[in-house]
Amino acid sequence: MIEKVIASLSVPSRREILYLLRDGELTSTAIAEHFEISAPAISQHLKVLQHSGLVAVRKSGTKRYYRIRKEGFKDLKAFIDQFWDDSLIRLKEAAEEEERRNNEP
Amino acid sequence: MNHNTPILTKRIFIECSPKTLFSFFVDPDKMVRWIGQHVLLEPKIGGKYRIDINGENIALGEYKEITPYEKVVLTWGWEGLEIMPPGSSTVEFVLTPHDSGTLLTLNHFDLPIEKMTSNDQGWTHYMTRLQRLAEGQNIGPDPWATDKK
Repeated sequence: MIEKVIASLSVPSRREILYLLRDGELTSTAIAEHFEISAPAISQHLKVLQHSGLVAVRKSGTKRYYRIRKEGFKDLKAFIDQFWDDSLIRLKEAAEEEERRNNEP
Repeated sequence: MNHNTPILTKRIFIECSPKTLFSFFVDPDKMVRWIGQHVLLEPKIGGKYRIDINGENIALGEYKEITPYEKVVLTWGWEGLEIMPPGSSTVEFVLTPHDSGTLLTLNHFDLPIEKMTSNDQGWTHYMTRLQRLAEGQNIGPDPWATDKK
């Protein structure tokens, strides 16, 4: 999951989109007005941000409203939590094996 | 040294001496047995480390404290991850003799994610930095990464 977040944030335009959304939701048209790049390119960036969980979308009539999904950043914390759990289990196994080896006659 | 409340704490009992366990934090050949695929370490105060976790995620930072058999403190961050860059957080490993083994406590301090999700001020702080980064400015070290609450 962290790979997706990193990939999402590695493109400046996507970071700018997140910045635009900091104060509330916007339609893709409103977002596109802030950029020189094409509307389809903006849609593509929004798709990536959505896929990585950083942005959520709401449909109303024919319009799609995009907003920040703060939970997406909480996932990153969950990733780090899991990362340490997995690592510490491996550390326990490795260190106990080492201790047994050291104590062999 | 760090008076913040850790946002993440782990404890695990390991059946080995603190001396054996300590070597797993300062010897790259041993560290690679529990973390990452490739490990480069410079185990001295201010010395750098680079841990390639899986070919994609690379942890970078430096040693802040090394007390043999008792404690190791590292700065912690991820290469290329602006919201949690190298130096943005701190990880502390505390080794305490316990029964016939060692109780290992891990404290992860200053996770920027917490600040971003806990309040709007934090969110704005990081998004402002992201924008300046996006504009190609050198934003320098994060003042929030080292502040004391």
